[in-house]
Amino acid sequence: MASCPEAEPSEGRAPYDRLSVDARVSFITSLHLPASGGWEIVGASVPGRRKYARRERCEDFSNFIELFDNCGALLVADGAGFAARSDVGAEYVANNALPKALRLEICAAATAAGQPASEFLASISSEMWEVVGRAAVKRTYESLMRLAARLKVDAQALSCTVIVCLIVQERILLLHVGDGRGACRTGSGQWLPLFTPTIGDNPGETVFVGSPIYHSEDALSLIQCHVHEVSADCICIMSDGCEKSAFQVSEINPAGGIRLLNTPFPGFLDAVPPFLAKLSDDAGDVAKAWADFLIDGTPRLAAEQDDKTLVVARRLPSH
Amino acid sequence: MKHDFAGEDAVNLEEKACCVFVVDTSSSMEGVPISELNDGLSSFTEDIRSMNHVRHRLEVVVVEFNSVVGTVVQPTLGIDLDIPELHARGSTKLVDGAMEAIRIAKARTKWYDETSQPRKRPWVILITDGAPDSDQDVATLQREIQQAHTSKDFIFMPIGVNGANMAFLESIAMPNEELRPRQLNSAKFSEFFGWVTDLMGKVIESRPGQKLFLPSRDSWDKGVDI
Repeated sequence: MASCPEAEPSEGRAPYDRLSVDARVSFITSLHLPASGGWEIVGASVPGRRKYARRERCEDFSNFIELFDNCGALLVADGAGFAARSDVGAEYVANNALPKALRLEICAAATAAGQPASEFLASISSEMWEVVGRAAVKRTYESLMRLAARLKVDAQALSCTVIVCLIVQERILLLHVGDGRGACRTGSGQWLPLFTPTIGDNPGETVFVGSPIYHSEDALSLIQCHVHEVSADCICIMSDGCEKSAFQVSEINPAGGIRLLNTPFPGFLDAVPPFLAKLSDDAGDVAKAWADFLIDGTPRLAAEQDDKTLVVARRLPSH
Repeated sequence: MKHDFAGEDAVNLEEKACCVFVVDTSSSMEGVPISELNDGLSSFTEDIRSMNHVRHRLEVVVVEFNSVVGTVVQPTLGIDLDIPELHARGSTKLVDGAMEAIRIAKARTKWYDETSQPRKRPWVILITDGAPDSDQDVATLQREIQQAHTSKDFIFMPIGVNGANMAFLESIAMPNEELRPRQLNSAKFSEFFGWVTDLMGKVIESRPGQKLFLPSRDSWDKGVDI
């Protein structure tokens, strides 16, 4: 059986210019997929309100990678607040460990199926994506443990949540551990949530990459994998610092208590694609403008204490 | 170049803080004191409404006392705050006013907890230029405040304006140096409410287990004659 040429190990590479000014990350790139055309991908991770004022480092990290010749992956990692070096963990997971793990596990599964990786992804079943996704997270956790050993810290000190969104032709493959939110807009203009975040009842109970959850089937179920057969024209994934702007996450239950929601908010999300189009048309630094927007582009974003990440994939009009 | 975003933020529940003002509107406050108090409350309202990180999280209550006690502002989020003009008349049902303010603070906390809304400990800020009428049950108020210090139900801060009976305010204060009664010149109401705005901003940004350091009171505290 032919080996998978895409599985050659490589160091994590930044396909974008990472801005170190004001302790934040932002990027813009484009992706052309044979079946679904051109996409513009914009992302930024910025510190929360108090940290921004103190110029402290953001514990969120975001990334975009091209996987094979028909797939792009958006990644968001959110360092755990309790973890001493979660900024290091988030960057390592999103920039290095998880991209490598995904390539290796997808290639291994594709090779076992006797298919090229790009064909394999285009037709992967939900069950197989769950197998591949969980294996990738487990491999990432092992990488994180090795990094922790080199840094002489506990693996939990590098803990982070993670969201990965693969755009493969007219489907979305989603993998996530922990909280954060994601949504896509269908051809009919409806916004759909891409996953349900795993949120503990008490602070600190969110599951993380770094949590020792890989030893039982029940625990593995906390790594969520979904296949969405949808032709989307816009996809947004975000850390929980942006969720209260873009989602309705809770409401008071008239019968008592609070009702948790996971409802994408069109009032915010529908304004994102034309806003990005305007940024691009104005021919300025789109990546920087997007980071500036996350800092204080709306009253809610300006007031947010948590670090904020929002990565958007916008399908470009075909010419 | 700043780009305008045409979207709006989703409406979501935020962690709440509650500030209950219990203010003396007895006849001794007539004239300059009540006018300065109204100006101070008006500035406070404008400031709170303009603060992004406060206006969706701070609830404000205003209770007045003179010969009777009335709640002139029910628990209201900062963004919707509108405090009517207060008028001075009558005697000083200070204890009844303070007890009503405490009742509202505790009821609000109970509602936050029943609806699982995250919240801070409420603040009850008493502003008076005198002493309570002689028929007022001071002992009950003292017990309520001492109990709250232990159980952390609310934080009580007495402020004496002009000729207030500071010994009385000392007798109902919480046993915490930072919360001892302070003297305020009625000409400094605006500075005082600016200070309360800063204080509420710090309360909202505070984290569990963290010590809260009050802002400097130099702009309005009358200090001690030496």
